[in-house]
Amino acid sequence: MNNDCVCMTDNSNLNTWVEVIDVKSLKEEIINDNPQLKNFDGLVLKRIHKSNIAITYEKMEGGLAGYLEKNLSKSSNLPNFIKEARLKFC
Amino acid sequence: MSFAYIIFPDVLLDALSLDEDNNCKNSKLFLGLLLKEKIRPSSLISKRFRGFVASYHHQCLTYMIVEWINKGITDEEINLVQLVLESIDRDGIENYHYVENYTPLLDLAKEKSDSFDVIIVCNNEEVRQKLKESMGTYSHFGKYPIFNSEEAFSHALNN
Repeated sequence: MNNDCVCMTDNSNLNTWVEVIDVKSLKEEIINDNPQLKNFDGLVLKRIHKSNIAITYEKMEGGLAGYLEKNLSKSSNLPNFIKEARLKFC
Repeated sequence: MSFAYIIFPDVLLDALSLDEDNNCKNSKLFLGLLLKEKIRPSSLISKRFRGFVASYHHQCLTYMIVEWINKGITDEEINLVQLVLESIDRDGIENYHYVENYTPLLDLAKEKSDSFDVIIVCNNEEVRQKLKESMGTYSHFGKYPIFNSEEAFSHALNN
């Protein structure tokens, strides 16, 4: 068992499960992969650091799909960024 | 039999999309299945199927995410993006000289074909066509089935 996945209980139902994930921080991952970003805008890395050191998701009803459906907000900027990002992979 | 799903980044983007087409819905379901398989204790032994994204593509996505954060996505959205990235593993080489965006995927597919039955997962029709042409033209890439996210979800459920 590694640091990415600490604990999982599973009732073999795709729609309901309980999980606890200790996720490696995105900040650490970004810097490890991209040493040149060490000098990147401190504000960005601070925000990542604050929100992603560890994440615990419990009772993620509907699984990842349900969680995404529920939490993606139409009022956010993310959907527009996703549209832009698609163009880069065409 | 263990399967490696080699995933083009458009599937990850589809999972984060609000669009209601089949690709977007099935990308969410497919990645959910991969995440479940990844964190379910039994998968540590069986490794029945795993999802991979090329390191090169992962890096492209990382740069994009940094850009999104700068432009202003919420902490919750950062978590959602990270959750999607957590559903798959990254592997393969980070080759800065890739000219075509789809070739990192073929390199990774070749690398994984030694230990897995490889399936490429891609929703982008233009890329799918290029993949087929390259696999037909250059034998060193190998040949692998190409599924969209709906086919991949169905395949993962039934195998």
